[in-house]
Order: sequence, then C-alpha cells, then structure tokens
Amino acid sequence: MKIVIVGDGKVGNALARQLSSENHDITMIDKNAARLNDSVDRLDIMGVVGNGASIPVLQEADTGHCDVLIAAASLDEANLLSCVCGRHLGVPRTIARVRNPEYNDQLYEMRETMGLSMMINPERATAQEIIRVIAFPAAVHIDTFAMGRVELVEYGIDSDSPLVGVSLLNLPHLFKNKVLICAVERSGEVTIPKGDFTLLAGDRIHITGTPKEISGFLDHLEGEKQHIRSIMILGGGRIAFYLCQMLGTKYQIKIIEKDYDRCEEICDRFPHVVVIHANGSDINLLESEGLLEIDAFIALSGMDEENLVTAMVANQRDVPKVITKITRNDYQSILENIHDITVVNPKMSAVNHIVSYVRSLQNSHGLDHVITIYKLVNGKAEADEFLAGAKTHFLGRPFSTLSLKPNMLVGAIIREDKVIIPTGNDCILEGDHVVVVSGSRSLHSLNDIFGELPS
Amino acid sequence: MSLKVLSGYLSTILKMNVAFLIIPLIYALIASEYASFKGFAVTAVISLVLGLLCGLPKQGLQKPVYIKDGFIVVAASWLLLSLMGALPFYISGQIPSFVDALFESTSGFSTTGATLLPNVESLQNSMLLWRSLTHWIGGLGVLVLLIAMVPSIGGNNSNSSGYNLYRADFSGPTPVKLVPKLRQNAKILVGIYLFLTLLETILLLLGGMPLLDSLTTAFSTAATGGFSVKDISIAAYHSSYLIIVIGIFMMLFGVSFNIYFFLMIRNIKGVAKNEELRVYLIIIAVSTALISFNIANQFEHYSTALMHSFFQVSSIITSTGFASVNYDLWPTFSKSILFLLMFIGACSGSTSNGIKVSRIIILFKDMRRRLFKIGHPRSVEVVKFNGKVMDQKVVGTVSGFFATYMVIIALSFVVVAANGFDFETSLSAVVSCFAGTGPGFGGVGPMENYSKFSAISKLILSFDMILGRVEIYPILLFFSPRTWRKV
Repeated sequence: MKIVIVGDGKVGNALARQLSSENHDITMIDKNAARLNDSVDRLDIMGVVGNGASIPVLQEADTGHCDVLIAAASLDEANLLSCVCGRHLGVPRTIARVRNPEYNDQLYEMRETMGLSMMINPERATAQEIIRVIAFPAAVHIDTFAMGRVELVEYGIDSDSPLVGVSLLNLPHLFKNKVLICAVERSGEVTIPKGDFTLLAGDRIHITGTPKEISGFLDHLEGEKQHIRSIMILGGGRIAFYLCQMLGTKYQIKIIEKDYDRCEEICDRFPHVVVIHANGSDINLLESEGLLEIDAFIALSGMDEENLVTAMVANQRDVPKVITKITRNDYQSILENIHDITVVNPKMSAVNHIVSYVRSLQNSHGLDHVITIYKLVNGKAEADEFLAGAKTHFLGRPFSTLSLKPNMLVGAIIREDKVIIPTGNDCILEGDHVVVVSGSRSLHSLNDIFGELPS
Repeated sequence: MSLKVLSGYLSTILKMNVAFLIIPLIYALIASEYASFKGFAVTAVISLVLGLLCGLPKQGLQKPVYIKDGFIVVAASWLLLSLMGALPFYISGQIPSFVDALFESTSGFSTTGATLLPNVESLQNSMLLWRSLTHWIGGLGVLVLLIAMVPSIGGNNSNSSGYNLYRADFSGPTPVKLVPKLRQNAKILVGIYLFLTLLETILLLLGGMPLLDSLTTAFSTAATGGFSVKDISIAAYHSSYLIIVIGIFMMLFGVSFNIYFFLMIRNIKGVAKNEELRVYLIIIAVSTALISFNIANQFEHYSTALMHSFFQVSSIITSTGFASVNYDLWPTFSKSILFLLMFIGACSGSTSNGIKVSRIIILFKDMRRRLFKIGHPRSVEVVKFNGKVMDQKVVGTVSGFFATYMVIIALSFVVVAANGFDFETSLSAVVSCFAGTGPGFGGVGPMENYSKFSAISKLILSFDMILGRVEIYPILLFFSPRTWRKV
C-alpha cells in the first residue's frame, strides 16, 4: 500500500521503519530537512520537505493516490488539518494523532465531520493500558487483541495459590470462568501446555479470554486481598490527567508534580486528588508521602531515568503494584528481569495501534494476514492475531478433526462481536480474527498451524 | 570498510560481467569469429572464477554499507570492470598492447567514446558489439543496474545500504527518489533506458542502417558514449534521416530520466517547472543557431548547416562524441562554443557526463548572489533552483566540485602536454576525456584517434575518464589513504 506519514518525530519514524519493512511504499513529510534527510538515508522511503498541512506539499508527496494518510506531527491542529486536506485530495483513510485532553470530549464529532478513520491518542491509550493493569493487579502484563475484545494476561503463581498442583484438564471443573492457559514459563523455559500439564508454584502463566472472564478468574484466585485502593503518581502530565479522569473518585490518588502551575491546574480539575508540589526523584520525600503504605506506584514523569529509578525503589520497598513509563526502547531491557514492574510506552503503543490498523486494511487476495504480534517471555514465545481469508485452509473444519502442529495453540477466535475460547468443536471461518500462541518460531500464516490428522 | 562487504559486491559485479559477456560470445560463435570467441570465453572464465572467489566470504551482502563504503564500492566496481573489459581486446589479439586495450575498455565503460584505433572497421563484428555494449552497461551506472537486477542489494531491507550505493553512483548534485522503494526506482530507470534504446534501434533500422550498426549506435547514443563502428563516425552513412534521428536521441538521453517518469505519470507540471530542462534546451537552441550562422557558407543550403550544427551541439553537450562531419574544420568561433559545451554537459540524472547544467545554473546564481553581497555585506539572499531554496551546503558542494574539476584538468593537462603536441590537441584531449565526450580538436579531432599519445598519457587519460564518469569523489576517496584508516 502507499502510505503518507506527516511528521518525522519518534512516532512517525517508528511507523515508517515498521511499515516500510512490511513492504509498504512510504512517503514522509516533515518541515525539518536535516531530520528528514537522515530518515531517507536510513530507511527505504521517500521524503518531501514542507508543511504537511498544505495541499501543494501533500500533492508533491502524491497524497491523492495513497491508501492511508497518517498525521503524527507534534501539533494536534496541524494533524487534523493534514487529514482534512488529505480527504479533500481523495485519500480513503486518514489517521490523526490528537492528544490534547481538551479535545477529548469532541472526538466523535471531529471524526464524523472531518471524515477521519482513526484518531490515536498515545497518552490516553496508555492511561487505558494502566487502568487495565490496575483492574487486575495480579497480572503483570496485559496485551489486547481485536480492539480490546480479547486480552492476554501474564500471571505469576505463588506457592499458596489454588492453582498449584492443578492439571489443566481439571481446570474447567474448578473454575467456571472460560479462560485458556496458552503458555507457561517455568525456570526460563516456555511450554505450550497440553491437557495433562500440571501447574506448579513459581510458574508464570499466560491466559487468554474476554476481559470479563479473566477478571472473574483472577478475582477467584486472589479473592479481595489484592484490590488496589490507593495510588501514588509521579508526574502530573497528560497520562496522569487521563488517569484521574478515568479512575474517578473510587480510588485515593496522590500526584507528585514539580511544576506549581500544573499542580494548581490538577487541583482545580480534580478536587478529590491530593497534589504534592515537590521533586519526585527525592526518595525520602516519596517515603514520607507514604510510599510504604500505598497499593500502587505509577512513575509518569517526563524523564525515563527518573521513572526507572523510582520504580525500582518502589519495587524494592514492596509496593504491591509498580508501573513505569519508559519511552526509550533501549532502557526497557534493564527491567526485563524484574518481572513485577509493568512498563508502558505511549509512543510504541500508538505505533502498534496504527500498524495493526494498517495491517487489517491489507488486501492480501484471500490469504490470511497478521494483525498484531506480541512477543512473550523476552521473545521466546509469540502471540499473533490473524485475519482469516477466503484461501485459508481448513475453513469450517472442527479442530477435533485436525492435528495441531507441536508447540502451538489457538488462544481465541473473534467472530464479529463474539469471542470464542476454542474447544474441539469450534472451527475457523473467513473473516475471523484468530489468536495463535506459538512457542517456537514466528508464524507467517494460519496455514502453518494445522495439518491433516495422521490416519 | 570491511573487505568482506567489498568482495561481496565485487563478486556480484563480476558475475554480472559474465552475463553481459555471453552476448558477444554467442555472436562470435554464430559469426565464426574464433579469435574474438577465445577472448570472450577466456575473459568470462576468469571473471567467473574471480567472482566465485570473491563470493567466498559469506554474508558480504547482508552487512550494512555506510556512506563511505558506498563510494568505495562504486570506485572499485568501475576500476574492476574497466580492467576486465580490456581482456577480450587483449586476449583476442585485436588490440595487442594491454595499455591500449585498457584505454579502449575504460573509454567504453565510462561512456567517453575516445578511441585509439586508427582503423575501427578492422575489428571483428562481435568485438565491435562488445565495445558498444560496454557503453550501454556503463551508461546508467553499474550500481543502478545491480540494484534493479539483484534483489539482495536493492531489496527489501530497511537499512540504507542500497541508498548509499545509489547515491554514490548518481550523477548530479543531489540524488532524487521518484518512488519510495529504491529497487522500484532503479527498475523504472532501467525500464526507461531499455525502452528508449529499443525505440532508437527500430528507428535506425527503418532508416536503412544494418542491424549491427543500429544496435551499436543505439547503445552508444543511449549511454551518451560515442563509439561508432565506422572510422568517420556517423558521417559514413551519408543520410540526413539518420543524422536527425541520432541527433534527437542524443538530446533525449541528455535529459534527466525523472522527466520521462513525470511524463509517464502525466505530471506535466513537474516537467514544465523543471528549470534544468529549460536551460538545457535554451543552451542547445542558442548554440545551434550561433554555429549554423557561423558555418553557413561551408554548405550549399542553410538547412544542411543547421542540421550539422544541431547534431554536433547535441553530440557534444551530452558528451556523446559522434560526428556527422569533420567539425575540426569549422571556424574557431564554432569550435570554441563546442569546447564550452563539453564542460557544461547535459542534465543531472541522465546518462551524460560533464559538470551538468544544474551545477552550472547553481554556480551562476551563487556568483550573482556573491557579487551583490560585496556591495551589501548584510544582505540575505538565497539560491533558488526549480523554485526551491537550495541548502547553502549543497551550493558550497557545487563550488567545491567545480574547483576540483578544474584542478584535475590542469594537472592532467601538464602531463599530457609532455607528449609535445600543440596546445589545442593536448587541452582538448584532457577535457574531452574527462568530460566523457571522446573526440576533441586538432590531433584528437573527430576523424583522428588517441594512438599517438605515450603509454603514461594514455593511463592518465583513462584515469580521467573514470574520474569524470563517477563525478570525481568516489575515485579520490578510494585512493586517499585516510579512507582506509580505521579511525
């Protein structure tokens, strides 16, 4: 597909890199010639210097003939204008990054009047991601498929958990929730479990299911003991703002922010939130503000280093749930081995959202194609969401009549609005979104997972 | 740069050379030209063995090619190809001296078209085909051909290897991408190149030219080379039709290939606002008019004078070097205009050599700006090209290029002058070789040849031809010791 990206920032650049490696034709527009030249040198893309909200510049990038226009420049208004101009030139699909919370209540109206296909707000998406983690504090990491209809949750089994010693065959008898354990990590090794697999203390399991079923399942396991009530947030930026808005008054929230004006703004908007005007990198201050008593600590300051250090301190002081924002990809590897800290990355969330959207547009001539890819357990396993096409093999054949290749598992099938946690009687139909968990290699197609039963 | 990477690319170049050698080899076999056949066969075997040896270190092509590496690969490719291209001439015994064979081969690949054969027609036909084929291979740039043909080079890698090669081999101040994917880009260029070559071949055949002559002339025109299979070049055919067809095609191959792409996608605005194309056509029109008035009295009809002056202008500005008459007999005024055209060259992004019209435009605009700045030191003015502001750095690069260009001409001139020929012969020989034209004036005029020079002069001139073809920097970088230092 031909894709025009306006704005060569972190998001624009990451998008160009990913989409161009997936063989799309990318043209990038940016005002900064030096930065753009650098990108053109590094990536196999074309660059146009200029204002991406002006029609002549868009025409120079041949926007009229492109399939998708993605506006990811720093200014919301400029992004919206780019998309409107793109629509005028005849672009079928436009995506705008809009992140100002003040526009939050008019998203629907803007989408309708401006004919946008998608609006992406990295900070809001991140806030939603954090909310999901807060809702299941026992889960370390949550990935979503099919616009959040199916979740994949990572959960560690303690020695006093009711799951210890349970064989997977017995699981449906013990718990009424429809969830599927699709990968187990035990002493560094990953297994895609079969029915005779028995869970042990110390295992980290990956579960798929609808958000409701999973939350029921986890509630059942954890009882009420782990519900989060009090939250400390470091940094009162946009994500914190959305969090306050979404969490409402059910939670006790304390925000630590260095900028006084910003403190007043938050006080004004959210009277129930306690706002501390202080430098959050001061550990003593965090402790005196109750770091040892709170249920969750969320580091959302503008500096990765500060977030990283405070999150590690909070984890060390046994705060039950620690979440930190890290923007630079190279810092994430530091936290790889500390399982209990949840990392969020607004820029990459936005990129992944957009890439999934673009993949779902692809016309692959009846073949299936991948929509989302998540790496699990440091890349030792992978969860992929495929869109089944007309030429996918074994359409309509119940799974019990097929043989599944080893180390592989169908985690969920999403048919229109329905989510199916598959059993032997289910099958794949054209247009289904299929979540596949694979323990060994990368999958390229749904046809790689099944074979005929040996007769 | 890692030698593994370099040898990986050289291996591909050598294999490509073998593929091209097959064409004259088959011709020689069919035409029973056994001396030539031996030359091609032995060269192909040497090429193949060397290519396989160079390909032994694994993963050479997977490693990234950085900017500097791109220049080195380009320089090494041209030097190696010129060397390999000389072997068929030498082995078949048709050019007995190796230095002479090297000169002829370099002249071919660099699309110069300077020959030292006093009697071209004595070469076997398959050898004539090879001579013109080297033009065609070198015309678009070896690396552009490679990127288009070999998926692993221009392929679907999101790193910049292909682009760094493409940039190093591009002729003109700044490389232009027409479509986002580099490989697609290269394929478009090769497609346009093939199409125009074929079109010209057909038109020449229709004009009654024999097949071999049509093919070789089309190859020479497409690459703006200038090798002809006749001793007295195009004048040998005595046909106004052929002169006009070749004249027009030379002019067309001097136009940036981007223009043809714009025409293909019907982007008329992109063509209309192209400043370089406009200036290029104006230069051709004005020079043709001036020369035709100047030589009018040498011909019966003014139209004949006009035809020959157009052909010669088109031939020299695009650095082709065909001759429809012996223009060395023209008045000094006409000759001096032709001499200037040699320097200018045609449009960037075409197959022609020389300084390029775009650089000349930028130089003049920059000159005017600097002049104004002397009187108004605080004035701010920008250099605009194609309606866009040029980056000061690019403007500076163009001045630097021009200065280097002149220095190389001056130094080579001194060496070549040691042969003791007159001023006109020595200077025009150097400029003509460096600018890729081929023939010059006086002792190296269109009906003369380069055999009279000493071996050392021939080597210097060969070197100038490659320098001119790759636009100087790759070769200079290749021979600069600082390039090969690790830090």
